Amino acid sequence: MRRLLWIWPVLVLGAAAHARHADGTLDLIITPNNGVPVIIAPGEPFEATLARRGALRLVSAEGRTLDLDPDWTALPGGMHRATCPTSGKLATGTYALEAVAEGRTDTNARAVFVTHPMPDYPVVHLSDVHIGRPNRDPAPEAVFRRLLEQINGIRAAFVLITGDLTQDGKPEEFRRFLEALDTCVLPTFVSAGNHDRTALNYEKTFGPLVYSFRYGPDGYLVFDTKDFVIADALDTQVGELQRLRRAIKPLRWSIGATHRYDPAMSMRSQLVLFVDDPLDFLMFGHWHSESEEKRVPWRTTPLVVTPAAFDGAWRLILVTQTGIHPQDVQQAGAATGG
Amino acid sequence: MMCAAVLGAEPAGQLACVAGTEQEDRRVELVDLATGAVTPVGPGAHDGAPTWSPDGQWLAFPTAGPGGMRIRVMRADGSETREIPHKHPWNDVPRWSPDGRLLAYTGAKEADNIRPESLAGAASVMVYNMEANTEEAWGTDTVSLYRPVWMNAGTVIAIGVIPGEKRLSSDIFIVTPSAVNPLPAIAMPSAGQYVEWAAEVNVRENLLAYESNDGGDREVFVLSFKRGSTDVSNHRAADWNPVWQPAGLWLAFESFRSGRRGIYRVFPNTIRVVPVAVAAEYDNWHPAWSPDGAFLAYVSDRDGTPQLFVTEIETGDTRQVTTGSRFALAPAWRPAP
Repeated sequence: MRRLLWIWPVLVLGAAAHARHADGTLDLIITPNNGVPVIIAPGEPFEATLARRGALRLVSAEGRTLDLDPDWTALPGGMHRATCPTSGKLATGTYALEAVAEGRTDTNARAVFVTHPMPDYPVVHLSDVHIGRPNRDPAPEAVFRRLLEQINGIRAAFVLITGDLTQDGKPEEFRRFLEALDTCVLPTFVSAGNHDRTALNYEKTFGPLVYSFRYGPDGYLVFDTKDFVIADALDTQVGELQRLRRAIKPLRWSIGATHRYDPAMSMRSQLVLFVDDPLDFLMFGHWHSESEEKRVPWRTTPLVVTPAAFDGAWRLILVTQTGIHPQDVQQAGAATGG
Repeated sequence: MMCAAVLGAEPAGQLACVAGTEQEDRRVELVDLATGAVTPVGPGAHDGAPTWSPDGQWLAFPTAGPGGMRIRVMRADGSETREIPHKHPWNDVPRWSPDGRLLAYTGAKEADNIRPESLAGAASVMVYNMEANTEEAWGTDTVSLYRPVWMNAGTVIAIGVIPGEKRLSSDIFIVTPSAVNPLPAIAMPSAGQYVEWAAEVNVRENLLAYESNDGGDREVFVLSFKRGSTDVSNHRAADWNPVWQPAGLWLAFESFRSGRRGIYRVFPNTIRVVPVAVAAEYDNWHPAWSPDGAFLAYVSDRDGTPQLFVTEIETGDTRQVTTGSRFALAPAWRPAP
């Protein structure tokens, strides 16, 4: 374990430039962002989704800039995908992605992480931050900041935060979450939780509800189950879920991350995730406590539930050649009250 | 939901669909293809996919009820609504019998009923009698049954989920008012090994389409009681959701063979597969045949928001039916009078 932690390069907090809109919602650049970043090795391309085409560049923590020369693809809804090649000489570190279009500049901090992924690595899992939850002392925001401070002291590949980032999904709560999130030096991947799905505030803050990413030899599928807790006919995202799940299937491990596993989710999504190509592992939160259920009812995918971050809980998960190994829950300071 | 285009003489008729982005606000609505008029029909509380009675006079769809979901049965003009005396709080996926007298659906005590420790009887085939205004459970409690479809007035086909030693599987069952029996082994030799779903009966041709992960990934099969079971989609990408053309000659289904979810049709006798609505950058799904089998209505998110489209089968001509920021989902073509 100690050896694993030591082999990780130190990641530096990315360029501090914050853009988005004044209310915290995404502007020109939808992804990558500080909740849906990309992790690449030098020389690997990455994809960005933008509301408009424009000039793109990476900005390092030290302020160095690197112009990008993307290939553009038109997407449904008037969006655009930029496939951005990078140089094999690109220095490791944390970068902001900057876009200039129609006289406007938008910068997504902590969006691109350049590193040399290792085959065996630790991941930090936390869930249920609940920024804005009342009658908590200390407040969830303070606990979250303390938790991230503790996480900053370890060396892990990235942090997965599986939903209920906020209490009521209000823009103000998302803003406060973002401010705390940017104190984390590691890449942070988020998913929506049932508390976050108010209007389209989550999507406006982080973009897609379903996405996948690759880290080293492994693939991760991040999704929100709220839209799947319905009959097959109304399940609007299962096509994307199937496409992304199959895309990561050839990789060593296929690891799912969601806010809430629910046996009531549409049968179609259960077939995709747990029957036809069962995920190797699923991590989630929602329950605010440890789980006695060890596998999904189809008896395929192992489960791990991490208790609530507003209680200071987080967990390290070791991903190795032999499997996925959840460690005991850690505490970043106890909370009291309702 | 707004109508995007007033369609010409063909296709004609009405589509029922579910409109709304947030689940809580989704409502069953009617879209008149000739005039473009949109008529709200459902209560707008978690309304689910609608299905038409064979005579085109009645709609049935799930909607939120006390502590779960109930099936709402109503005339399309809103003049009459039936309150089904449900035994279970969770009811879903209604299907009309060929004569329109009975309505079968899944009824369950709990929403999360796929649990191996309590699977037997967790979900049942429930049948509502339109004339008697009664509901009864068909079959027995020995297996958990889902998604019934009619074979004839006295028999439904349903998917039974079965706890195995290592994992769950599912099989296709024949359900009558008093019995549940799996399909004979001679028809389904792989019973107990795979997960079948979405069975659809072709009454006219005496065929059964279904999907299964037999063969490594999800495929569409057609079971002929004379010739046995044939993989009619046969592709390494997932194929699912078979829907028979009313005349029974073609089968529409969804496939990922082009990368994204698209709609194809297959002629089962020769396994000839023809693309209907396929694209590289967006999904097309939920095919619904027109009564004459000349058109397919479906959902597409080509504009970023799921909306209804109609494609003429022979020409490929495609028209957008709905626009707007609200989702339009689960189209069902009104049967010809």
